[in-house]
Amino acid sequence: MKTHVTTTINGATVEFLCQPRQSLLAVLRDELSLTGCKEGCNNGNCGACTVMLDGLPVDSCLVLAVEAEGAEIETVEGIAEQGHLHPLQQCFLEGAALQCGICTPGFLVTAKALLEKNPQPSEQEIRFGLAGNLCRCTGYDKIVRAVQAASQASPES
Amino acid sequence: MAIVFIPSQLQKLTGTAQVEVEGDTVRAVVEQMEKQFPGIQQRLFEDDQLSPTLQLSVDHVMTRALSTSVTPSTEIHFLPVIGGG
Amino acid sequence: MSTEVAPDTQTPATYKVIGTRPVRHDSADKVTGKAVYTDDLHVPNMVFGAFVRSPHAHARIVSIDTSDAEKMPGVLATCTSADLPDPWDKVDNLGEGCVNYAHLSGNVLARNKALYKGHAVAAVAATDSYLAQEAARRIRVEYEPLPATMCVQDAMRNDAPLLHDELITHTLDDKPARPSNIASHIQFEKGNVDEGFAAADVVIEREFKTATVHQGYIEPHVSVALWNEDGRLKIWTATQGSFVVRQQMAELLKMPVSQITIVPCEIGGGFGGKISVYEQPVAAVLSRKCGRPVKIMMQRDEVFEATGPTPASFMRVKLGATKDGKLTAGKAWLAFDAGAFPGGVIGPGAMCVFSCYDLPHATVDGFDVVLNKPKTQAYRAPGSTHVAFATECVIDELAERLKIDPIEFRLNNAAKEGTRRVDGPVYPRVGLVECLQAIQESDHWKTPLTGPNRGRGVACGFWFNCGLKSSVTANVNADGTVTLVEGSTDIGGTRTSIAMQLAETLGITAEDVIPQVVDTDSVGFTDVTGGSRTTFATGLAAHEAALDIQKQMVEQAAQIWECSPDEVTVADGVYQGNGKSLSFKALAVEADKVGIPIVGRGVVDPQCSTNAFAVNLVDVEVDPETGKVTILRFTVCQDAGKAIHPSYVEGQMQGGSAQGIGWALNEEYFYGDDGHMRNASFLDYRMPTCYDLPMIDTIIVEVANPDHPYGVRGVGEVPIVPPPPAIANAIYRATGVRFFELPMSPPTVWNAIKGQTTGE
Repeated sequence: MKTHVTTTINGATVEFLCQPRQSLLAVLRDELSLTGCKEGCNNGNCGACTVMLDGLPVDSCLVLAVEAEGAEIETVEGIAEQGHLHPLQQCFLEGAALQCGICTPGFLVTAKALLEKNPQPSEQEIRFGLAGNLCRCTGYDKIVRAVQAASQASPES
Repeated sequence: MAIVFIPSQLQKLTGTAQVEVEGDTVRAVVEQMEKQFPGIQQRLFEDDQLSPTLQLSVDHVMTRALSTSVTPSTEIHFLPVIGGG
Repeated sequence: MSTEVAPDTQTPATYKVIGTRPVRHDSADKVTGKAVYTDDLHVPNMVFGAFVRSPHAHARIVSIDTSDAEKMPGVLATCTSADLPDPWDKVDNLGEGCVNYAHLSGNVLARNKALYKGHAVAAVAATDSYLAQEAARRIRVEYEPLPATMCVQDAMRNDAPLLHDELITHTLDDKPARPSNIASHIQFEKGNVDEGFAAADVVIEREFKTATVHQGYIEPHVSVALWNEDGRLKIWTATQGSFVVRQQMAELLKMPVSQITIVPCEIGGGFGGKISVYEQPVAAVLSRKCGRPVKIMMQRDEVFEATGPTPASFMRVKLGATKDGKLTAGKAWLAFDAGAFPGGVIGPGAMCVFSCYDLPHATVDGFDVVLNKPKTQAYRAPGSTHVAFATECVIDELAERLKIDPIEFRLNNAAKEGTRRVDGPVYPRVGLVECLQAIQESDHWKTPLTGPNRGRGVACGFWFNCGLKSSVTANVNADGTVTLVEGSTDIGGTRTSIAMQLAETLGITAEDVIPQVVDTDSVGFTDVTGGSRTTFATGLAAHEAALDIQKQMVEQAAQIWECSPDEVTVADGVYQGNGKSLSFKALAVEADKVGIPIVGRGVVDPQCSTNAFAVNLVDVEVDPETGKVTILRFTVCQDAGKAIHPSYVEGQMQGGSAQGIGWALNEEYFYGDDGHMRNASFLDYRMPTCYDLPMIDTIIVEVANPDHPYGVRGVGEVPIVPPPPAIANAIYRATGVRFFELPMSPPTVWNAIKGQTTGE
């Protein structure tokens, strides 16, 4: 038995069929080919699968796909606009804020949510805001600096 | 000729920690050592090759090639193989 | 200030590309979600595999019944060790360490006995991943549980339950008559240790323990295998070394390497843990049996329980020194947990235990011990972090006892060019002294630490770094750019650090090079991305390829300008001859019109260690109420030889430090009495988050490596080594308590502080 779900992903209306047990992560990746969000743990601890759900960052592995009915979803694929990288993306690549890159999409989604809520966060606020995303390569130093740089580059400042 | 540093666990065969041995390559040196200290080769070799658990330090070169050439001032060390992360 | 290059050590040569910080070639893919990792692949007609794993830490496998699972609609194939060819007892060198294929095969799928909780026993392929999981639960395995042994000291006892009935200790000494769990015994001796200790004014001996820890890469192990009807096998996989996977697959499946293609996808971290094969042979066999591509992706608990963490250890280290602060002798006794099969990281551990110091007299005994835990693997400078914890804590205690500044004491005894290591070889030019001096000159060292419950610690670390084989080809394009084809999987920006060396040699920009990591059919043999070798060795291959291109360009220029190649000169990427001059790019455009294609080739096998040293300076604050240790300030100084791309060198230093901090303070496998890991998730296996760490300040020292044209040393591994002892030494100064066990987690620290105040 599959369930029909209508949702908005990166601004476009998307319909899909899913099994009730499928997570949003599984549907985004396996059914909709939005493989930017990554599976690192499948139990809500690493943040690699973070997407925006109705304006809040969530671990998409902990959301059932059927819960996405009527929701607005934004994934890493929706961050760059019309061929232009978002300032956060630009700061990540200029600041060498990634090594293997598997955690990067999750960090970008979380950081974007953080800056939308708090355009000028302190270092501690950035660290607290990103604490749900694990990175094993960078030691976080350059990630925090990239978010700082993006906050300074954002139009709000 | 080369200076062979005898692993401590083999020193009961040689009686010393270092020996100077004739030979132009590591293999020749080990074969010559075997004549002086019977039984040493089988501790270091497996199927006529260097034991896969060992590597050689020949001066600054880390190698497993028994064909590595040596000079009278060459130091040969037998070391465990290393894996890196 | 995050970045400084210690001024006295900068290499004199001025470069145009090396030392700059270009945006890496793959970063647009990686910040937009477009980069393709193995799990992102959806191969047409693909099905999914799942494992059946042992619920026991040690058990005889009485029977496996797959019939119920096979009857389920949608289930396509099952697989047990009976489907793998009979393994041979062949020990092979994988460039990085050696492997016994009988053991490897037995680790991939258990034969006769399950040797640890989570050991793979069977597998199944089905049309969707949920169905595969359900089918795995329907495979009935009958076990006869056996007593398990879980800690090195217990496993070494004569009456310990044996894992392998035939295991005779490997040693250069006389072999023991009876089997045991001691897989090997290594020994080094230098000088006369008794004389050395007799000459000492102070002798300190301590015992240390460290827990099992995991590399913790965020991407689980994942592969897609396609065994085609023509007998060819193709595997897309997350690996540090595609050629080494090919070699393992060929041996395990007894087929020629030419029948196997390994396609390395983007890889989500490895740190030594993605060299051995796990799911790849099983996915291959399932694919052969069902005729469809099979994807197997591990769940996180499988990654913890059934891949290759790095060992727990028990160590005894004794050091002696004279009152004027000169080390006289050292003695180390090291027992490392190999996991369920022989071949842990005791070798490098034993070689590294005294590698930072000039010790006239020493002995080292190292034991590789099998027990009922997953087969251990390398983890960033494997073995060196364990032994540095022991040695650097004793060094710190000696310095304190002798009332000598801890950096001065280390400088007094530091290994340098000409120092003979305890395992025998003599160091060439190395940079430990320069690193210690750079720390002394740092703002961090010069700024006093004040406040209650605070302390400052220092420690050193060493890692060999290796060379090994690398191949590249480089094609000059009609527009004067160069496509660089390489076999080193890129885990942390090596596409760019390798491309930059090619660009520097050719006199073009980093952006004019297009690096591509390709499959095993498309480039020459290349060893793993590991051993801190990639920027060094594959970079060297790129340099060779650039020289090869340059030679061909000179010939083409001579043809165009109608002169002899001897009359053509090259400087800074400008070719001159017969009164004419063209840049590399302009000449490439001209050459494309008239000449044969220009393809450069670089193949290398540098056989040397590049010898990396790192020093940490760390300030901590210990909460006496909870035992929680907060890192207030952290500086890592490291000899990079030459930092090709300083941002990614800093990144290695910062990332390695963070892993070392995790190892020091929180990370450990908790085992129950039943041999089950109790914390097999990222919630309970507590890796550092962003909120746990401060900025990690870096000081790059550049003492050029004489074995590389640009002076590169490896940088990836050594930064994980010094953090545990540096933090232990800092906690001591904050609390007055010395710690001899990792991790120094809040309960451990709290209990120790409480014990001190109550006099327990």
